[in-house]
Amino acid sequence: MLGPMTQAIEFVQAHWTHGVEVVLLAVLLYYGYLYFRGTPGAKILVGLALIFISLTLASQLLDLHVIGWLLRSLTVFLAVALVVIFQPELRRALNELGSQHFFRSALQKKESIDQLVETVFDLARRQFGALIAIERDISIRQFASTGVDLDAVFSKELILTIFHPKTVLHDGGVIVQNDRITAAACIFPLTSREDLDRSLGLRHRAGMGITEESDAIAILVSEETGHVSLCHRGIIERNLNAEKFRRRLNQMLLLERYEANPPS
Amino acid sequence: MKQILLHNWKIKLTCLALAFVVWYVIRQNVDPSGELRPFTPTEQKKK
Repeated sequence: MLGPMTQAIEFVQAHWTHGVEVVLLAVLLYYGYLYFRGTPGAKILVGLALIFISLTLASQLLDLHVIGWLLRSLTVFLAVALVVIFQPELRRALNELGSQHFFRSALQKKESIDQLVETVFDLARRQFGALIAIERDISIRQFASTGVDLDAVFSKELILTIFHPKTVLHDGGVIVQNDRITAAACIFPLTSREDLDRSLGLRHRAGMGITEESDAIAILVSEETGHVSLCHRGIIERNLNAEKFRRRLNQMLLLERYEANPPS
Repeated sequence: MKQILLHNWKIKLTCLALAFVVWYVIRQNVDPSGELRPFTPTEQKKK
């Protein structure tokens, strides 16, 4: 009993650094994937990675020395090419790393949620139709290019102005990233589901569409009824009151206890 | 903690598997001294 135990401890002592290396690599890959997903260069990155990994594995397993030598020689050029291809994304990533949004506390997030709830129910009271997409881990910035760039601090007044029926920006959705309104009047993809209530208009279908393609949260205010809805992963929760809306946002954005079966 | 781990678990698991492959491949090409092992024609001759 003591033998295998001692062996296990010795194994862990000898190889724990390898485990740390693998975990660190995995974390880098995960956040890299989340960051670059949805950017114009993402497909190039996935293609290059697939070719590189396949060729490397093939050269290792089949002992292809020339391919191995070529891959090693091309690595430097590949690194330079990646920096050139992803120059805008890398600049943005470094910019975000240095910004305070990256290190926001749960308390600050809670304050943002309170502000968001107040804004949404003000829109509902005025019966201003609205569609707000809040980005989470998966980037939705590809949809920002379909609208008008803003990059403004989130505020109730600005949202009320954008969705005022007489402004040119009120059609389409607003994208919120890290407490900033990055774009307005954006066009989101419509859901392809056919089993939906016919009373759901294009705004609601667009809200569902964007949450099917990413892990974003879409907030919808009906222009006709003033009802507030919330979409997440293609599921819509309609006619929420302020308390339930706040609770669901806390669950989604602060990862508080999630309801086992959210209503569909 | 469980919620954080289970969030996007499929992507996280894929990244872990991919990280292991990348680590293994690099490990195969690195000497214990930490130097990358360049391929030379003499290696092939020895084989």
